[in-house]
Amino acid sequence: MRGAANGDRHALARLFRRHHRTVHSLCYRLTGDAAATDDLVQEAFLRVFRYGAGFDGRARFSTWLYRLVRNLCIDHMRARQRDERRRRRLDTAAEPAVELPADEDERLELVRRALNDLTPERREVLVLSRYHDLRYREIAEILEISLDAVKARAHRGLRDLRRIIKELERQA
Amino acid sequence: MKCEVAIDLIADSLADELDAGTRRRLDDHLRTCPSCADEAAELERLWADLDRLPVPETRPANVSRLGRPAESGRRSRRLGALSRAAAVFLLLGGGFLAGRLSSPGIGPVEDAGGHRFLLLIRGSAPERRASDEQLFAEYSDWGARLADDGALITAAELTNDARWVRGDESDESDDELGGFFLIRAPDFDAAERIARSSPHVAYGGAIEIRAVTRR
Repeated sequence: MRGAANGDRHALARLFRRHHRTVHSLCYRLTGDAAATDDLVQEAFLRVFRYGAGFDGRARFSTWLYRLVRNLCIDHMRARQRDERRRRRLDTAAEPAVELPADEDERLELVRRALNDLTPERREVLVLSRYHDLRYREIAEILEISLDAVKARAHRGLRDLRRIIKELERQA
Repeated sequence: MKCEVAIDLIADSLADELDAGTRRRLDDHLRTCPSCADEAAELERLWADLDRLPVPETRPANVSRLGRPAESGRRSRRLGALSRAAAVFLLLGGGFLAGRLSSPGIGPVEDAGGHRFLLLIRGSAPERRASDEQLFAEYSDWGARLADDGALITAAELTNDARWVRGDESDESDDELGGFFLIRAPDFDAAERIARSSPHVAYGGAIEIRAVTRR
């Protein structure tokens, strides 16, 4: 990262190649928005390059990167929520019933929906733990919250996931 | 051990966050509590299902929508993959290339042996496919070559906010204008060769070349 912050082209290219997959997966898992993922990834790297000099080496680079991507995704989700609220005000039609596509693995579709229905705070802890193999204390560092708060979110997140899946199964 | 505590510990166990002693106590509880054992099996299944959830592949460059009129009279904030790759490179134009540029800034340039040309990076393009990584690498290499050859004077990314001031009623241009390169070349043909060598053109993007007056 030092090289990248100093403007070394090869360091930047290496950085992009090394972290692209992680950033892509994180953006998708945190937002559940496949259509926006590529744009978020690109914006994340623009921010890495733009703010790379702000990386002072006190935190690990991966922690800094996770934090940056997470903040970007939160901004995106907030904007999306604002859009949805606006749309709902305009369109008062009933929510469509849950329909499971026949050609998809129904169980996985339920899990995917449930994950997207978690609160952002619980989902991000679950995503960082499950998909990025981060320890609770690393997640606490990234999110800048206490270890106990991470544990509480992890516990509630998994319970919520179970509950939402059951509800979706009932509806289906 | 209370069942409520056990359920939380099952979550910690799945996340591999339990020390050996706590894990033993949890296992003891699960052996004697069928309800918690069922819950553990269910959460394990859920944990495994989470792992099976696919991540969509990186979308290949799809620029077919570029060049369409912006939705509500304003430019769309979302860029096509080509423009995004160009944006990364153009950003770098102001960053890592800065030290290699023959003359930073776009003020008057004393260039003894050539003319200045403005390459405007535009979006309209047929669909071509490449990963973001590939686009990024190719754009970076192209720009670095220009800088190394002494042809690049400066480059900059443009934001998506555009205002038009015009006297007639004609529509705004449909093309996305992602940024520009100011280069030095012996003549128009040489400038065109440089533009043609760019990955932006190779992937179907457009570059408008304008000569800068010599004043």
